[in-house]
Amino acid sequence: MRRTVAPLDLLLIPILFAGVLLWPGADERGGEPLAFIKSGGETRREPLTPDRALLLQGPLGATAVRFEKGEVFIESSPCPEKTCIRMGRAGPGGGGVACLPNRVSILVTGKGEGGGVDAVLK
Amino acid sequence: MITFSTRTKISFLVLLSFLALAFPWVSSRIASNEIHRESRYLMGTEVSISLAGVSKERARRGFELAFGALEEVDREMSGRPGSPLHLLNTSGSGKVSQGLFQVVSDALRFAALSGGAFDPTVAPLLDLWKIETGPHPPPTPPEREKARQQVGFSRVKTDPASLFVDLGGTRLDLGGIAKGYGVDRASEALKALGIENFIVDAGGDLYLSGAKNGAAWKVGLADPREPAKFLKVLSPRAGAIVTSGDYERFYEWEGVRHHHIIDPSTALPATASRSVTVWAKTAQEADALSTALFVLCPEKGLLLLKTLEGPEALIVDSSGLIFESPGFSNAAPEVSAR
Repeated sequence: MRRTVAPLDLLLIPILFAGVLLWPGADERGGEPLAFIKSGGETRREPLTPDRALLLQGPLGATAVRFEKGEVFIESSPCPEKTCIRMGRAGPGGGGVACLPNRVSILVTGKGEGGGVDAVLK
Repeated sequence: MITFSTRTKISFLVLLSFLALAFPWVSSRIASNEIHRESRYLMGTEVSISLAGVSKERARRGFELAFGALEEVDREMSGRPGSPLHLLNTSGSGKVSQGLFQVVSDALRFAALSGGAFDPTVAPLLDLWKIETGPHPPPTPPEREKARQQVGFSRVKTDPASLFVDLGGTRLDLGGIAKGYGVDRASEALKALGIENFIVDAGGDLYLSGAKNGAAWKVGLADPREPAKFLKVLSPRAGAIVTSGDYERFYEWEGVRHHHIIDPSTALPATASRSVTVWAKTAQEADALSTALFVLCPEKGLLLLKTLEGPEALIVDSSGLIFESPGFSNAAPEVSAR
């Protein structure tokens, strides 16, 4: 049996193809504030809520990162100076916390990665 | 209605298969809205490069060249055992590469310009204070005085014809300028590849070019007393912007903050400011001037800027007051974070 295809169906092909091509940029737009956490050569995206803790392994040991009341901060660190712990909390307004000796950094952007700041002067 | 034969349908499926197979190759060569980012630990900090408006393939090549340029500067000027700078410091004199000679010469120029507030021969004092090792009793006055007597940029002699450097009994630390130089080299590498929209960020030493998908780059300026939060969000003009602060590397001992920016004239951490942000055409200039202005008091720092063409500064003094040079808000206007 021969099946039929409407001419408009053919338009779907370039539309779908273009959609797939453009898709990588889609997650850069909109959304809630996110914390971009870099450690061990990888970057992970984490929402600021709910309250929780993460243990991130670095060359000196484990850095404990805590999310609390919509903010993120470094709770404990094996680094000698502990400057990262004293940096305070980054919240939905944007901000950054880093532990250079243990190679952990956190950048909180505004609305999605493309909507907040692109770098921090520190 | 149109009807298709089996042959047409097979041709159609073959075409679709081809498109599916070609997709990774095609997409890697099409400039998308995606911001490409890559980070590496170099020069004692996290260096991140963000590229906009380029294909994946071009971004990969850009990262390779830009990080390559930074790695070369790090290898040469880090001061790690075995590095050319370390060899110069241990031998006291010698012929150096064109790049190292250039940075040493520029460092001496900024030292003279700032009356020694920025001084690349501060190495004996940094070695004495050992800020990076964490809380410990600060050096005693006799220890400080002994180290201070080894400091002085006028001791260093250079010969451009032979690329020979004689340290005159002192030692160099290029930490206040080499990172900026590396950022400039990385930026040049990206521009040479035809990449116009990027940020090179070496732990807060930034060079910005172009925009991201038509929107200006945004940069958060850390609050020196609550560094996890922003004091302002800026959208700097193309060029470099660098901050020096007393909150990035410090320890507290008996309630006193001891940080890594040492005033060569007193051998003590500089206390006039909490942070100094400088915009300039090159990251090297912004890097050296941010240290110089941090050591000087805000009034003297702003007077120094008046003698220069181009650089602008925002200074947060020791009490939290903000001073800006007349052109800073034009060079780096404040914008909304969103």
